[in-house]
Amino acid sequence: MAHCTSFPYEPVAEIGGGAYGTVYKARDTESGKFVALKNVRVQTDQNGLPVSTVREVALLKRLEQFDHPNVVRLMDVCATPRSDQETKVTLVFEHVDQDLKTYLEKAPAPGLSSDRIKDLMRQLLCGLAFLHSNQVMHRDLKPENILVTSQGQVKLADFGLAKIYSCHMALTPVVVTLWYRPPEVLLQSTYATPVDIWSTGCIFAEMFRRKPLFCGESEMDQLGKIFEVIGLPQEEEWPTGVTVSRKNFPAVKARPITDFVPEINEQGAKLLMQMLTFDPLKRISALNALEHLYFQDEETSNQDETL
Amino acid sequence: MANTCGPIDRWQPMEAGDSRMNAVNMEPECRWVSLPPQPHICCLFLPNWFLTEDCVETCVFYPHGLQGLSSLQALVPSLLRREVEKALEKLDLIWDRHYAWDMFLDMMRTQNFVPITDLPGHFTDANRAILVDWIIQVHDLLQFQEETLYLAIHLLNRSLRHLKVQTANLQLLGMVCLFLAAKKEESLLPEVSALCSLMDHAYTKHQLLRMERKVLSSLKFDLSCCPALHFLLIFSSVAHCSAMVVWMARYLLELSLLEDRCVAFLPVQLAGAALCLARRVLQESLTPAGEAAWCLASSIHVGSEPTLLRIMHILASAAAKAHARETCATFLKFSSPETMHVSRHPGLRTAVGLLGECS
Repeated sequence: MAHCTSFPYEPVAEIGGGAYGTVYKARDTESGKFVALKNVRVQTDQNGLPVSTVREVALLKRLEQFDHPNVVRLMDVCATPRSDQETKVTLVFEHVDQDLKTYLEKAPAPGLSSDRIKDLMRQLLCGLAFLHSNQVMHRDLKPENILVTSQGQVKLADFGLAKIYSCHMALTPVVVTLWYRPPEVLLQSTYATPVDIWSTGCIFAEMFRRKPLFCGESEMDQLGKIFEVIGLPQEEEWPTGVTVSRKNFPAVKARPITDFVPEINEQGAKLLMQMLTFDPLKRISALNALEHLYFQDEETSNQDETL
Repeated sequence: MANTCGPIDRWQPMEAGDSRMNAVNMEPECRWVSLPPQPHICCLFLPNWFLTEDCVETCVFYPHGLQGLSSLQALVPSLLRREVEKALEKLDLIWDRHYAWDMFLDMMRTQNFVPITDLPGHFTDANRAILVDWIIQVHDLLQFQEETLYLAIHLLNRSLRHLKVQTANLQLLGMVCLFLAAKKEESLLPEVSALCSLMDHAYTKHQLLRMERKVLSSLKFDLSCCPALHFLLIFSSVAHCSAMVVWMARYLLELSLLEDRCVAFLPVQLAGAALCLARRVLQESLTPAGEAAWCLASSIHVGSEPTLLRIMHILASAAAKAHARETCATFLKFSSPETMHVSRHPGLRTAVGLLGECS
């Protein structure tokens, strides 16, 4: 690894050959704490670092000033030249040992309590509302990049790098999971912050099921699996200007979500359906989701006695 | 005295309006974590909003037994909030009014500044002024937005703290700071080769790009700043200032970029001081509504009046000799008809005298 000058991080292990480049666990030689190093290669032309990289990393740094509890800390950034055409940008994040995927796997049967799920969801939505109010969308939310500290604190990781990564991904053959992708992305229509709400809905269901809700093998298969649950949308809801026709899919009706997520309570099911809404404009926002009755009703809470 | 905050009865009609009282929103100003309050920021929420910059020496106290005092005090942040929201919208600084107040509070909280002691020793005040003056000229030539200039100087101040740069490379550093500010703010970028020719090819493209990486790494890609200009525009909008006052304040604020002593002050203080000084110099007569608006805008600075006065002294003496200085790009820029010739205003020559002794 080429290092920045006075780069005080000592790699300990490779923790992922991830879709977006190699991730290393490293030790901060000054504090002794572990960090996660992410290297992103960006093309540099004759005008230096691309404007998109400069702006996106600057935005991440700006978010850092707010010190949000549900967003992973970005501790350091540096740029090192690899060649005339390429610069390596190294992002140094705080290291959290566990992601939501392993957290769910490690939970003893019968899985997480409904209170625990509610708490995780509240934190997840808090982090998202913060990102969205700063005009940052995650675009690739999944259990692997939702970190859970040993104290049970949720921290979102890997956000706001979509454009930098897509630059990088052109260079690396990668397989990206489709399971948390919303219909508008699968249909290659326009998309915005509601994409993250869809993914959050998928993850919400997965917390109860302990397995993913929609496991498609291709874009079309993924859409088919989605419609088996939420039903084929009406003709007028289908986005205009997309190449995939609605006629490719069987006219299936929506099935009760409790068929797929039997453990969920009534308000939880209502919130879940508002997140898994086909039309991104009608999908609930992170701020509104936090106001949802699901988070106010105390029927599943063990706080009952104190109220 | 024209600048004095209006007598308290001017506020009574608002107090009487019950519907307005109901609109008072006392929700906590912080969305998730309580940050340690900074003295100059928490003053925004202090009830003694009626102090203005002129009350520095003579503090005004409420007469005892004034009816509805507490509700009246609670009203002001909401009034200010509404005016700030309107201003942000008018200035096109927000995309959703729903987030406007949060954004303003974020601006107040995240102002960063470089303590003056950290500027390197070999970099004299005169050197710094010459470099900034040159950046101002290049910025003007490239027709960048005003925000870009403020960001460039902010990046320069911070780079000087973090990087060891030889005097011979200061021009290159200045150019890179302007280039990075443009990458962050501008939609049209000049070619690197064009920038090199603006420096008479004293440096190669390769050197410029290497400096870009050095600056980005040393600043950890942190390119955000709250330009003092935005605070100036918000305050002048809340205070309903005349175009002439705003132009003069913009001139004074740009002069502050050349003053190394101003590096140590917060953007919000620099903006407040520039606006106060412009009003003092121009001495425009105000309607009661105008005075009330000014009073409301001043409430933002409660607690930092002595600091504002210190800055006003610096700006006043800078403006008094601006025409005779070698570094006069800003003076010339603001002498144009489009800027209402503010830099040539005769009142600026004697502005220091208006301020009295600096405490």
